[in-house]
Amino acid sequence: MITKIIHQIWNERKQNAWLFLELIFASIFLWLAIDPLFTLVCRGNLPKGYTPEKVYRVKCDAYNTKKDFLNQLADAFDNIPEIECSFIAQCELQPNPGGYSSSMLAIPDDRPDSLIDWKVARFYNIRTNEKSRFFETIRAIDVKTGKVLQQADYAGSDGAYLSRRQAMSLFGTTDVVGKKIMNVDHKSFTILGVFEDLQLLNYDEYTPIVLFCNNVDNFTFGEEIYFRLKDSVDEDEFKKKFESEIMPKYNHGINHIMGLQSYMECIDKHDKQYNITNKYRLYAGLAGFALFCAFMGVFSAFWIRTNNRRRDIGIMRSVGATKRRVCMQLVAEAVILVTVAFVVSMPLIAHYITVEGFAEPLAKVPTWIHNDTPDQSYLHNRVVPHFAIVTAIAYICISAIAIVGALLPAIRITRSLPADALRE
Amino acid sequence: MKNLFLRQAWTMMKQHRLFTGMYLIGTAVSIALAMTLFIIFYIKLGPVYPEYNRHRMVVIENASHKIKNQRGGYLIRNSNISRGFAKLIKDEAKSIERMALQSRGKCTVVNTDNNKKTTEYLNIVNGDFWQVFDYKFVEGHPFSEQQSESAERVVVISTTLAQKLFAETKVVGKALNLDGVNYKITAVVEPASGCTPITEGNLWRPIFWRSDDNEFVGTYKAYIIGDETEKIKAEIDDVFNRYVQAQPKENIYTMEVEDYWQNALDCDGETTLLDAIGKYLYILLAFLFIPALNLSGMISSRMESRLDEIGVRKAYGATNRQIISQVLWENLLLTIMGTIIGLILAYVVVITGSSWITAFFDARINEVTPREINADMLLNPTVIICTLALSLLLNISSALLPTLIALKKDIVQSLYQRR
Repeated sequence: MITKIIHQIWNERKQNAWLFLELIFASIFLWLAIDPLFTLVCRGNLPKGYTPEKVYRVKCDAYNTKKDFLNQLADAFDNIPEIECSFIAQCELQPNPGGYSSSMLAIPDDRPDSLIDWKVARFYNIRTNEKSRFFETIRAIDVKTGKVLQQADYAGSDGAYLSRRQAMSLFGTTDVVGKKIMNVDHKSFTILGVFEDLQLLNYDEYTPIVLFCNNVDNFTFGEEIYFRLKDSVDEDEFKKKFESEIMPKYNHGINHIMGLQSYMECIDKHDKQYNITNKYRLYAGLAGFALFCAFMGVFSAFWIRTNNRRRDIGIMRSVGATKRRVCMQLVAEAVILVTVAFVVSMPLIAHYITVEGFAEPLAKVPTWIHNDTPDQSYLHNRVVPHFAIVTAIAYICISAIAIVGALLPAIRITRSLPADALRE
Repeated sequence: MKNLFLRQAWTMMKQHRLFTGMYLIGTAVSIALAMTLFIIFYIKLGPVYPEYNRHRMVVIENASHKIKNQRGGYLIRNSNISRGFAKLIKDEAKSIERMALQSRGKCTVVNTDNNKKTTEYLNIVNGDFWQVFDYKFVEGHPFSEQQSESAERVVVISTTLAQKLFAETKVVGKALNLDGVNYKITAVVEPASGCTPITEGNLWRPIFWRSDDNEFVGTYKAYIIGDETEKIKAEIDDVFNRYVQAQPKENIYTMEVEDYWQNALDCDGETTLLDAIGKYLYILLAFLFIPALNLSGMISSRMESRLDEIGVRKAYGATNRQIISQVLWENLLLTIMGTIIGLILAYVVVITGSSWITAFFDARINEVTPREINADMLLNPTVIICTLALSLLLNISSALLPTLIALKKDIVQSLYQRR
């Protein structure tokens, strides 16, 4: 059967040439659209390292007395039964931060700076006291126990918490609680805990993080207050209560509470702000366009072809070929055409990837926000698996579309009686 | 003759409904997508309210100052330019017509009469800002350069903010409290769409923070207009080089001076327009070229079935040129119909999805004001001419080659085909 189909394709090579060319270009275009989508999906599915559900940010301001206002709110939240815990930290330490501070860290060493093995770190300042409990609020995971990290009973300003990656880069192990690290000013900090990597920016990979305890009584610019609701609390009900009872109580003078923003909303807002949501839409749209073109090409070509081959099909049917057999032959023709076109497009795609590399969907997000050094241990960052998976997805999609495109005219033509087809 | 071709095309359209339908869908989708792309870039780069001076605009956005410390490392300040350095540029670069300065931050706005509060992005701008960008003033007048210099506590607001806080737009002379300080409203303007990221916003006040006047790095983006942008850029470079030479040599200064389009497309100052557009050209080509191949395939099949007709016409003396002309005119009718459907589709897509479609190629979305589409963004001669040009290109590229291939066959072969 395959030999017959190949002969058939060859005999109609002039008509097939246009379709073949279209399928080549559609395959290339489809591959290039699926490539960034694949990266986005893989990164989007990395574990976040925290639980964003039921965490809220209080949108508030009080001009230059915000510190006092945040303390007032922290005291108030302590007495609200629906709130489990809260924390005060720089606004950058929310999911998908607007920025970060970068520093160099090392194991304490008396040698000259040039001989010390400095490691890059993103750092944030958090308040770690009885009322400001960052880890419990976002439910960051303790590397040692695998449970929610319990904040140490510590209120100084020379303590620090490291992410798994930060601990590994400095010590090569995560068993580092109690050990010391130093910053570029040679100030030393005691490590109070190690937490699982946090995915601060959605669709980004993990980056080494250090959280410095900031418990001195001075206000850090851009501080915000966040809280977690207890699991049993109905979020909508609490929001209503917050707006009707809590907000008016504190919304006076220069104190200004504008409402609540959930962590999930923060994530969504940031995705929109850095255009990541749009990237999904754009690449999905481009992939859809390539598939639409492939469908139109196959459908129109096979519609015209089945009309021209009514006599042949009539003869086939009259000598015993079943409808299924005729349909199979036409679908097989489409699949062979798509497969050959896809194979032809592969060297062109491989050449493009060699020159340009895989698509980086976050290329336009500033590198001071996203991690621009992908971790090679992930499958999607390795060349061969990435290429193979994207190729497989693109081939499956375009073949499926070609099958549908060929099947519709095939079903139509097999419905007509052999006698009618032969008479025409 | 053309009328005859068009009549024949009309008859064939009715006879071959599937072919007509497929052709119209293919053309409409191709034109709709290409036009959507074109409209996005027109909004990004073309003259739209109130940024009518984009074609003669130079932008200074990024500046950095690296100060060497005692350990041999650098303290890096990455931001924009200071008001003082901007003033130096304006004084010394003689080709500059106007220089708008803008800095942006959030603030709490309170109507002191009824204590209504809201949080807004505050644009801190100089007097020239209102000359560089052509806002429509609903009421009042903008603050001048002199008012900005003398740090008058005046503010310009948009009709949107006026409605939000005062429930009317006749609010000139009324007081508004920004972050605890009272200002007098001096004018109300029609807000710009969120599609114009420089000019979007609801609130503008003069510059009067002067602590960075003697620094190089500050918080101001500069939008400069003049008739000779290349000359302006050269003059700014000259001012910058002279400034750097007068500074301690161990410090490093950088500043990016770009044409408006380079800034809008997130390119650096060295990028050419072709390089910048080239990144997106493959999408446009795909939108036109892949459907064109599909149409070519369909036309090729139709030419095969019309070989006998071509043979007869050739036998009676028709030249190849006349037959090509016939096919092109026939297809032009279908292409024009597909183009009209495509253009309407593009308008529908852009208007309904303006909040995200117009931001497809932006690095960042501010979401200060809604991304609304104005009539001058869609119904302008450039968009219409480009639609027609694309349509013609699609028609010729899809119909010409299959026709030429069909015409290669001689009369006898053509007549024999359907014997």
